[in-house]
Amino acid sequence: MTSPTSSTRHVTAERVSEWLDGDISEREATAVRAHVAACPACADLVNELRGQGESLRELGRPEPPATLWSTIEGVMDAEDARAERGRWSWPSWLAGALGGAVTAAVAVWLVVGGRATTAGASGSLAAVGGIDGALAARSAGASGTGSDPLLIEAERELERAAASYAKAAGRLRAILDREQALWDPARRARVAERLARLDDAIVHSRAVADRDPGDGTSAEMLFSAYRRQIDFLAEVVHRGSPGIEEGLR
Amino acid sequence: MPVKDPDTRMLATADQNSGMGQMTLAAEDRRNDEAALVDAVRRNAPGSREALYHRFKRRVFALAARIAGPNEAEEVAQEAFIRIFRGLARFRGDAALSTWIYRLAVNAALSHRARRPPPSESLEARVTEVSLVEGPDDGDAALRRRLERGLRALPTGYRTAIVLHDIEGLEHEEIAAVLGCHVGTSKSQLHKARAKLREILAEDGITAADVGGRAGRTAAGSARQER
Repeated sequence: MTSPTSSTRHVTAERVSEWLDGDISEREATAVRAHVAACPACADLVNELRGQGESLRELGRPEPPATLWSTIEGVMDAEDARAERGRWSWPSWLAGALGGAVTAAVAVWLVVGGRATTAGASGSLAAVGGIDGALAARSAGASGTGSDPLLIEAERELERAAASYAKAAGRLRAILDREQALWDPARRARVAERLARLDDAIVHSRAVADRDPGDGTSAEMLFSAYRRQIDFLAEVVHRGSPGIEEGLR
Repeated sequence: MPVKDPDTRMLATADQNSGMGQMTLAAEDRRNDEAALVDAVRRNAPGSREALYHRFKRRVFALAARIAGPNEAEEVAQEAFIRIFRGLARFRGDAALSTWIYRLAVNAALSHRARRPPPSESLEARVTEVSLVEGPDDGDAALRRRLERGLRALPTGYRTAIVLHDIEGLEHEEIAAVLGCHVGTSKSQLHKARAKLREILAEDGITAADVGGRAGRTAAGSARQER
């Protein structure tokens, strides 16, 4: 073993690394090899860098926390839901029909509210307001004050609101009838069962409202039943067969 | 022209002779498998995202931990996977899926580090830091812990190169694709990183015998034979 001479200066760690990886020319590699063979210090450096590389390879990869996937899944599910809502634009006719229903309901409120304000001392109307007021007006009409033009107008607006909801639901149902021909019978049956329950709720609410026109709660139940039906129909029509299971929940 | 060191060249030749055909087939199978997985995620097939997550979770988490720091690893890995799932629709397959995922993971880690630089190496920071190495504070576990700390003391560019090459096992061409740099830059960063890490470990009192271990003993033998 010989000591390094001035013509064979110690090699740097960076140079050794390049030599170990074959990232230098053949001529340079020969020079490094010759020096390392003659210089114990540089031979140690070679061993040290080799050992360092092996130790790094043995570090391995730590296991991520078990909760990481559920966090990522939650974020992605929320993004999917947002994207889904973004893609879901109500058809213009449906928006128009529902807009009509809402406008009619607001008109009822305004008409009856105005009537209540002007009536002032008519008591129950001033107290109930809104749809309650409209139905109270129907009740009042039934008891002999039906000639009041504001009350008659309120009753008509209520009917228009109900008709608008029914029209929107009817059009959605027509689309559904066309589309569900492609679905499997089990799914069609589940949708039909759910729609039948929603229909029952509408029929029941309407019967209650007709029996006791002065009960504002029953009118709200009726409109709520229409809205549930429309929401369900729109969801199923929009999302198609794969979305049904969610819509049925 | 660069040449491989004889030891390395011999190993490469042995690898090629022993199973090049098998390696090609395995690589082909992996590519097909990855293409199917990508397709399933794009179609939002049930369970496909989770399958992709489990395939790459350790690689992404390890990169996040080593580049951004162990305390930030969970947040960075989460961000990386969200970028992966969002971006998969635009993945064209020009690079291997793993290279593309490494790129997103490294970018997430680097941008996180730029937004939130690590605290100084105070005693408090060391005490509260999550350890990537489990086990008692002696022997191999202690050495690994000090290696991890040495890696964290490297400049970000050096650390990224040495993590990708020496720990993750990427080739320089892959590292260049991941980092968007030249192959020569990747090599240069790696060699500087190794030299710097050696200095840092020496300052921490880690000797050649500590890191040399088996490699030192076997390599010393072959080096002496070469002489």
